[in-house]
Amino acid sequence: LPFPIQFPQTTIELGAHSFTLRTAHTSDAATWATTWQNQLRAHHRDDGEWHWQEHIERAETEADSLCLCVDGPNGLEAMLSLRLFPGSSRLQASCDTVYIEYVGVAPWNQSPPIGEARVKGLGRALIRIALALSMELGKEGRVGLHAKPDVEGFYRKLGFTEVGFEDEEDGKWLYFESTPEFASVFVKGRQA
Amino acid sequence: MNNLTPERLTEMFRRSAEEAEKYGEPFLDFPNPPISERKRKNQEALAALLSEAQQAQLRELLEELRATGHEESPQTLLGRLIATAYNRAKKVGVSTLLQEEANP
Repeated sequence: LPFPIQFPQTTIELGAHSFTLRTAHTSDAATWATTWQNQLRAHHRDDGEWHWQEHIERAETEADSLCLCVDGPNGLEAMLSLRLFPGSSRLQASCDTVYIEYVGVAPWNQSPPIGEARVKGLGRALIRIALALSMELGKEGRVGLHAKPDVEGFYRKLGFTEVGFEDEEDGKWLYFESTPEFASVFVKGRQA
Repeated sequence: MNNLTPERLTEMFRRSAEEAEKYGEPFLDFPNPPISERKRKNQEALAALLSEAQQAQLRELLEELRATGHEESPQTLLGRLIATAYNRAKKVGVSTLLQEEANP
């Protein structure tokens, strides 16, 4: 089953570098495991324990899920996993959201980077795409996510609304959601 | 209709790269306690709930799971169990659990 919005492979030229945005394939999970995971685990980054294979397989078979990859000069540079369900807005009853499961960037693109720092802003770009997708899907730019403790400040500063802690299978996490007003401004780019 | 054209996507990437440069890469920000703080609390909660012998048994069980081909590391599995125990303890109150342990 396809995701409601088709996502054709897109080439993005940024300065001297060329990036490719595309839907993820199961082979990307293997690439993640061989090129990212060991480095992330060695540096005790929580995203070294994420379940990309499970997410990509689900996106390939279920219409409510989508996984995107960004390829660049260093190989696999960033990944996004999102779902349409569960997607009930906590800020506006009867409204739906797009739910971000994971936003991951390669070890060398993280801050602090593992190894030499390479590409900045890819996580931010993928969040922008999630907000734009929410608009395209008629959800007014509403996007929800549960933040890791170390990036709660990032989502707060970006302009997401802090809703509160919620119990999940793997712990208690702070839930953030974007308002249509914030999404509109952020996607257009007038927001820090 | 899909308005996510290559031009629009390119613009989103370009703007994000500029902002990351201007405002600092967002993942640079670690204003909150690092993840190790949460792990430490979980470990304390586990210590409050389980004896050392029980913790050792749990680790053995996790090693067995790993030996049977479970993909996650024992540390990760243990972390999940600890987080679950910690959240349960927070819900019902650790002292209540300890009282139950002492007076079953």
